[in-house]
Amino acid sequence: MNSEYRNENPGQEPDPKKDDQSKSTLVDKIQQLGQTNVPSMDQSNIHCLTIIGQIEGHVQLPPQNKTTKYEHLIPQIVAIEQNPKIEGVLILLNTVGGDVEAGLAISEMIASLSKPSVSIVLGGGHSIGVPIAVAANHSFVAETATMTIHPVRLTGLVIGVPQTFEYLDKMQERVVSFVTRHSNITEEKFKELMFSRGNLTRDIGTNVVGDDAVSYGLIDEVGAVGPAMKKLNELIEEYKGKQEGDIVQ
Amino acid sequence: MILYTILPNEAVFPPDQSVYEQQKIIEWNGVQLLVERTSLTECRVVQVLSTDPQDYLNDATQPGQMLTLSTSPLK
Repeated sequence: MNSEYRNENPGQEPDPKKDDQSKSTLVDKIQQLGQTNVPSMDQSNIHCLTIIGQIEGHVQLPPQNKTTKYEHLIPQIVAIEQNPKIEGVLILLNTVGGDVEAGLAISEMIASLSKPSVSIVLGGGHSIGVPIAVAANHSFVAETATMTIHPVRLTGLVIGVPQTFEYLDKMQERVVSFVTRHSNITEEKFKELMFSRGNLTRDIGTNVVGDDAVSYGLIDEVGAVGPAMKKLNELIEEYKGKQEGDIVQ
Repeated sequence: MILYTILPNEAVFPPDQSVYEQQKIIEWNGVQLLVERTSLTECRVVQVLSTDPQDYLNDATQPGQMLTLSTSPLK
């Protein structure tokens, strides 16, 4: 294909075409064989779910924003639950937060997974990233990672102020109850962090750093990928043992 | 011009609709990919959407790789 093209157009610059050719051999391979000759590895028994960028809700964010699309994540969680070859999930978080309901949807899906799940907060797990982090069976936070806990906010046009206020108040309650149910933090402490002043200049809320998140009981342990994989493998063994026990009985 | 507002940038300056139309999610060998159309039959990989960590090691779908689509692209 490419050589014919070259014969017809001898006058064009040679360099980009060479690049094109090497690229197109790869592309041709994909087209003809349906795959490249990448060494195929066994399917991993641990899958990872990446919650990176903003959590996108019903409104699509512009393409220059990095977003976590919940309508794609949720079927992936269903696939993880269904696929017998997948034994555990590692959830990687580096998010600034985003849509509350989309975040709660992801959190509920993770929390209701029957397979073991471990989450790691890397960099940041802010606002709605907090319920997602605590939804896993065991949560880790990197030493330098931070989590901002603040009340639910709204931007944009509001129609029906009292109704919206009530609705946001309930939404906030849902976030608080989810976090307290899935972590060791008490409701009083979580609300105290959420409404405290002076930590975010004039705003209310707290920016909790790695060690503090563990001391408040929000996150289980400080650590990143190594300890998280070790913990996940332990949980998988435990889960397998439980299942086998069920069959014997 | 300086705008003092609590509204996010994209709420004040909404991007053109055509920006959204360039990016599509396609399925390639069972892996979902976010691609950006560059011509009628070619597209550039922007993001791999998968939970299998092995999918991220595939050379052919590294972000920036070009894919040629044989059948009606990006539909």
